[in-house]
Amino acid sequence: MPQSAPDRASRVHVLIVDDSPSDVRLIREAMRDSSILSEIHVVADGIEALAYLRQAGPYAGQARPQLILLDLNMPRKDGREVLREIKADSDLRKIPVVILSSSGAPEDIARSYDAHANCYIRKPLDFDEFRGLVRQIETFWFTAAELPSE
Amino acid sequence: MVGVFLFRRGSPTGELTPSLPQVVEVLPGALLALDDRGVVRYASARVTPLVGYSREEVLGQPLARLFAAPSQDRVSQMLARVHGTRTTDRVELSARHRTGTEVLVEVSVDWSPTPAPGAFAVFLRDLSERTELVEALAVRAAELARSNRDLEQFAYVASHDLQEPLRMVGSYTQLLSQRYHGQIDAEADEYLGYAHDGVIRMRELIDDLLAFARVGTRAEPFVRIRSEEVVDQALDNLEAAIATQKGHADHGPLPEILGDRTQLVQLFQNLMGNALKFRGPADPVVRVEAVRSGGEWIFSVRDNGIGIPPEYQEKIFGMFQRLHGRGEYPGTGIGLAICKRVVERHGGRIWVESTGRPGEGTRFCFTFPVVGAVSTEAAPAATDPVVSEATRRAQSLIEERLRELI
Repeated sequence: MPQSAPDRASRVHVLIVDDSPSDVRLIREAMRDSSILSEIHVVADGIEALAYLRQAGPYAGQARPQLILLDLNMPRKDGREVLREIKADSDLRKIPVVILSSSGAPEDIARSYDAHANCYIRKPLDFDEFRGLVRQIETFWFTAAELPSE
Repeated sequence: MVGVFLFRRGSPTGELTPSLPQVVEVLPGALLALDDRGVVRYASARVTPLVGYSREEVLGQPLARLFAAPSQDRVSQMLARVHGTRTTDRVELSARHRTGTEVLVEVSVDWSPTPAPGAFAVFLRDLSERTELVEALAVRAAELARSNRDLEQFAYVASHDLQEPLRMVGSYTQLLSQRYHGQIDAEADEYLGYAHDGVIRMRELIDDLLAFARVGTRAEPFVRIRSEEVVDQALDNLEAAIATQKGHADHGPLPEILGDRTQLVQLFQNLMGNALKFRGPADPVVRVEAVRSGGEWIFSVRDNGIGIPPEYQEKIFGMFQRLHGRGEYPGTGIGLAICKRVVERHGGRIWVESTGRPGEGTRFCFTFPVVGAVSTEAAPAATDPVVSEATRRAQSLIEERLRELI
């Protein structure tokens, strides 16, 4: 059910933190045609992610995301550090963080939840599954879950 | 005195006597006779290479003087003990060579009451060669263990890292074929289909390589397991396959064994799964049995399937070995390689018996040590199969070498 001419405020904002353009593109492809209208913002590493969230430098005035999709393995500052910093920040910690990683290592999963990740999802090998999962993430966080007002 | 020593060792009598000096000289060590004060009264020529002194120089010396300072007291104590208890004794001590170097020797002392009252017979055997052998083998065992760990690590890391690019190729060929199906031409669809099949196949191979590597990297310590439970678990896992193949699988009474539960389930599941997969025209029938043969159990998994021609029976346990086209029977050919690895890790052997004639089926057999029969062997095997295997080989090599020496 497509909405007609949605204004920017009615869209949901999603921040993708991932250094792989091909993965970012897959997420975009999976979100295409979704009934939930979203605006996607992309940063390629942890340092950019925190700058974006704190609206520092070139990110001044950027919309605050309602959901963060965070990859674990990235250059400069990886997802584990970003997660710790977000969850240590009394303001940013309200934003749900979904870890989206290709790692199935039990220690990666355990450490992410230890650091208060809201959810850990392993990137599926198959595109159809990937699309299904991204849709589920959207449906759950933007339809089923009630999110805190800013 | 020397004669007494040899007689007491149970050597043949009479005919040996004339060549006694020669016999003494071919012994793999030095033979000494001491008086009741521990002074050397006789020494065979072999004493010279051992301590660097001539026979004449040794005669009249207390035995303890041939030893390095820390061992001298122990020599005296040993003689006193043997004298007091009228028994024999054997210890390993450091003798001192004329050059000052220490030589590890085995010292056997016997009390000889007749025909010369108050005498000791002493046999000195050089252990330095054995020590070197043991050290060399320990180094080799450590090298083998490390290289095996490296290989397992390599397989594991390679499998994980290979998944990433594969995920990309797979996802994008899928996306391409969904978005552009029928839009380029029929050939393009066909090419994309092949590319996607290749991805699926590659994924299976990587998964199987990972499973193979896990036999070493995800190994659990051995525990007592009722093998019937393991077989039942494998049967549960195969429920769907049994139903689709209209198969029947059961087992006779099975023993308790020592092992890694997850790996044992995998072993039985692979073998019974193969029995269902390589079926003939008749409904598959699979039976698991075990019989005891000395210190081991021989398990067998028998089926009524297509069989395996004798010329392929070695090959099938290799990695990624297949006898059939993928169109006939699916799979990567890793299953039996995993079975072999699991069985060997548990100290057993695996083989196959089949005539290869249709309808006569296949019988896979593997052995497991009987619990208790080799419990001292099974414990180190649980911690590191390579080290324990190398140690076992080292032991048998040493024993062999020692038999040559003696």
